[in-house]
Amino acid sequence: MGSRLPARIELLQGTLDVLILRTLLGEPKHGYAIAQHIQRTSEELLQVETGSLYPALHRLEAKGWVAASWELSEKGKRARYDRLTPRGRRQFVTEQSKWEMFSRAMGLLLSPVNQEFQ
Amino acid sequence: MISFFRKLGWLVQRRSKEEQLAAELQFHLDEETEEHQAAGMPAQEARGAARRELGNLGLVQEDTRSTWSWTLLEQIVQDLRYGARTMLRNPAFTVLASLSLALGIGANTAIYSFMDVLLMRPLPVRDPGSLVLLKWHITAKNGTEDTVVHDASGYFDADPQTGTTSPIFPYPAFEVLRKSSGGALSILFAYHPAGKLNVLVGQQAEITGGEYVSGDYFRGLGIAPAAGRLVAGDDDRAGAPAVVVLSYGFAQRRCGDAASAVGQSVSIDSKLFTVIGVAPPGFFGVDPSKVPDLYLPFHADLLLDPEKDPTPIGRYQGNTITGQR
Repeated sequence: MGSRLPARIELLQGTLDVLILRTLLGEPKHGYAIAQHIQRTSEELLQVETGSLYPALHRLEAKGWVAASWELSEKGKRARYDRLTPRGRRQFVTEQSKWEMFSRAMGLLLSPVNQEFQ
Repeated sequence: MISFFRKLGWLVQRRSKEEQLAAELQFHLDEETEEHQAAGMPAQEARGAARRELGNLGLVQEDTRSTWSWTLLEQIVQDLRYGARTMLRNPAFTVLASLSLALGIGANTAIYSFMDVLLMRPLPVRDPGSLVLLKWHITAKNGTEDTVVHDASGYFDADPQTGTTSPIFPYPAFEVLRKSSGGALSILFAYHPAGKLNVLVGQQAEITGGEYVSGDYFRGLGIAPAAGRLVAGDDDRAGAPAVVVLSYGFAQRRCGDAASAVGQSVSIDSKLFTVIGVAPPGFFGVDPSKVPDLYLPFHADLLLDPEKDPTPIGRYQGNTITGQR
């Protein structure tokens, strides 16, 4: 059964916040849409646990990086929409450059080029 | 800092936030269910799958709630409430615990107040700073016990290294010192506890503490009587009339008030004494650990107990001391 499901990667500690910020960079979204967006954009490789998504959203709100408001969804239901604040946007830029450096470093260390020297 | 004020604001709208969170999670469930149904799942099954994917609903709510407030602060409040509930449920233990705490605190306070009076506060007499307590000291000689006094009752501090020190002098020694101390001290007086005495005032007897004082005791301390007069030089000689000065508290308790105590006859250890005066309120002698009710001249011990060794107290003549040195 496991082989039929796409292999999924557990989110690294501290990555969910930056993913949420990135997801909200466009338009405001509700929690479910954020989870869906992250899953689809990562080609189903990353799965967002509801158990961490909602605490993360409220934590970001407490920090003032996102702001929430209740609006009608496209299906006409009331839903809580989160949108990025200017502070959140600045935070995302910082986080993004950190992640780029990190992934570059990981890529350099793990890339097959190194194997040639063995 | 921003998050602090935001959380402060959330504190007041806690209930509506709870409802909003419930609605938010419900919306999530509904969306998930619809998704499953759109994929062809029957309604009941779709709802179950959505619930499974959400996981522990209570835990999600709890984790989210914890971002609204100061977790540490909230836990302290919870602990306090839990403590209060536990104590209410177990009143016997609570009473015992508070009682032992109260006793402990009370005992400490009492001991501290006592030490405060004993060690910290100056005596309630005139110019307490110029008073000196006389002690004799003899250095140790090869560990042999040497002393200048034999058979004296009272406080001795014997140390094999430094020798023996004591404020107890034989009465004849006090007499010699009193007559010859004029250069260094303006006055030399002495006291000695008289122990417990059996006092009969009117028809009622009681056991109370007394103190022998030399004739210059009250003059030396600069004490004025609350009524009558205090023991003076002429009262303290062999053959003088038997007189006593009462403490203010004792006079009030046994004679009504200070003034009516003066002139009364009281029996002390079956000897008749005349009350000549009452000490002022608040005066307790020079030893805060003993609060005597009766002040007797030293020579009254010829009537009561013929073996007494005084502790002399001198008062520096400030001018003489500074002038001579």
